[in-house]
Amino acid sequence: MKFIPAAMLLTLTVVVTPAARAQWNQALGAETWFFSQTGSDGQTTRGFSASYAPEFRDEWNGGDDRFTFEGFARYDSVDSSRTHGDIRSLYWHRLGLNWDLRLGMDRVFWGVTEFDNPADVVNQTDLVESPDGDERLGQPMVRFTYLGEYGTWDLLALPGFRERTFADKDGRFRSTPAVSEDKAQYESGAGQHRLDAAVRFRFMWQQSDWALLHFSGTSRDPVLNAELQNGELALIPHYEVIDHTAATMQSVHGSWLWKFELVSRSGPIRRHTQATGGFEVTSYNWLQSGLDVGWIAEYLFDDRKNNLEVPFERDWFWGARLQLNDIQSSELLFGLVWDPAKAERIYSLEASTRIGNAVSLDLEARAFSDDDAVDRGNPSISTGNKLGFLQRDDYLRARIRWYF
Amino acid sequence: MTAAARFLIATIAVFPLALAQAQTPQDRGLEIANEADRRDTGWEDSHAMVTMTLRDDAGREAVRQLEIETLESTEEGDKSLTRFETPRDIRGTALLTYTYKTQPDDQWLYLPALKRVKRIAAQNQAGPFMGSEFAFEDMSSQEVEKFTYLSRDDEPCPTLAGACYVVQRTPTSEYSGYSHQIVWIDQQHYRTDRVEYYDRKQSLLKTLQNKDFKQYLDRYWRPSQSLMTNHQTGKSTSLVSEDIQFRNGLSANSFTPTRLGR
Repeated sequence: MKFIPAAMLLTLTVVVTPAARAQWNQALGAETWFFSQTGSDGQTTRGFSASYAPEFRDEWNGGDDRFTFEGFARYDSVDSSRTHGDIRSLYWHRLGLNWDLRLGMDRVFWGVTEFDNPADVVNQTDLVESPDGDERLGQPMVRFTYLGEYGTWDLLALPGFRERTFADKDGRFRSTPAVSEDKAQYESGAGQHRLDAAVRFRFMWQQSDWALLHFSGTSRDPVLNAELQNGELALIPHYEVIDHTAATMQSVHGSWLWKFELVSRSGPIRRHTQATGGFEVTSYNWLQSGLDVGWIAEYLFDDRKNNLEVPFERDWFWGARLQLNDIQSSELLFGLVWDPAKAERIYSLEASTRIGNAVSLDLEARAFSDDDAVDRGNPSISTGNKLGFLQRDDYLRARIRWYF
Repeated sequence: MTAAARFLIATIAVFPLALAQAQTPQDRGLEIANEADRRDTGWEDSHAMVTMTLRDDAGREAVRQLEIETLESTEEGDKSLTRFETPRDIRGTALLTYTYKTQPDDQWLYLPALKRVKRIAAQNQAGPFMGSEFAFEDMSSQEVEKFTYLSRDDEPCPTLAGACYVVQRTPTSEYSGYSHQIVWIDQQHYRTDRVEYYDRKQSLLKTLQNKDFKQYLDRYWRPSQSLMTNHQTGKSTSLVSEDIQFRNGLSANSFTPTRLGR
């Protein structure tokens, strides 16, 4: 038997069970909004808001068991619905050799394109948090992942439903009248307690990333029904039970990145199809300027042409991303959404930079334009223009975030 | 001593020299690259904490902390996983790279804010890694097949003791940002002392200087410091590796897009 020095055993032990990695990370944010004019219901042109996002992670058993918590809270000076909190993640994660099990609240993102992600279906949108729909609420789930030889399987059981958040009557980016969130209706008799399920298979084929997925359960996208309540017009969110089947693809050809999402969704009334796809291509050291410029073009298609819940049905999205390659990682993103048939346009500009190692700064500006607006002073849901309700919501937002 | 014996001795003495002369600079360059690669085989996997310091031409600095895990593969290229600890706003962002010997690398970026896995075009290998002076192609595994080689006259090593092989290597990929590179490799241990990078217009663009080599597992040499200086912009980036550990028993399943999110 070989003599193994004690020091070597100690080294082995240290390698096999690394020191506990419990850590807290927190972020504080402050932002201010300026709107170009008062809202259609007289909403104010200025607002202030603050947010706090704590995060806690720990792992044990040599990293085979992990715990994650991500919380979020926001105070908004104007919109009481936007003053809200959420548990974005609170889960235990067990890593097996070729499988993962996660139990608790979590977020999964199944989209691939830049502008809109119709394939992404599991988590509810936190619409008050971001008008572009990029933010998601935590969802209770049991998620089992199997890393197979031909691809990765994700099986999700989703107990409990989260309602979409909508702006209050004092808030912006909303219909007139405001959505009556608290009166939400469900197709399922179980209401918010229906057990939904989803499955996804992700694989590589021809050096491209593919995924096929299916979701069966209560739709995260409500249909908004106009109803008379106590003599006043109200918008009531109605959550249907749907079957949602989708395919996504990401593929690299030279310096071009191609992305595509295709969705077929059946509800109680009819089946419909959505598709979006496009490319992203980056020129490094563009025209010898030292800047990197990325060009994005995507097209969105939805066969529900005249449905009010669908703002984008035959729309183009163009974007240009400019990276300055300075030590503060400064970046500019210009975007344009354009519906050629309706002359609806959304212009956006996002700029971000960093101060030191722990503070980030960003600016966001958007302008909504709709040449067909019949009555620009009083846009309402009765107008056929889907962006009509945003006519008075051109804005500039400045935000600072501190990480510690 | 017979004439025949004398002839034999002369042949034996001359033969290796003749071989060396018959060997073309291309063959010799490839041989050096292969030998350096052979000596760096068998480490299985590695884990390192790396501090990246960016300096601009005005002397301002920004620091990024990275955790880099690499899985060795002899059949294909290596797989590597880079996670950002700082800057704090992008903490948890991870970059997964599958390097290949002959085809373009595959790359995925994980963005924790949206829990999104994004494929990125690795053909954009000429682009800067995180705003640093290292291009993606400088950070990825330097597989022998990614270049053609031309040996130059040996020189004393720029910083290491002893003599260095000097090899000019030309990237085979049309997407590379370089026309060629000149590499100084020390003859004793085949360590890369210095690399000069020439842009597509054949002008000197950058110099990589490795420092403080340490030997691991009695065999594998790694620099503790790498300094990349851009001669055209005056900017520089240093990489300082701490606590490099080999043979951690990392699983190939950890190097999959699925496990990028923690």
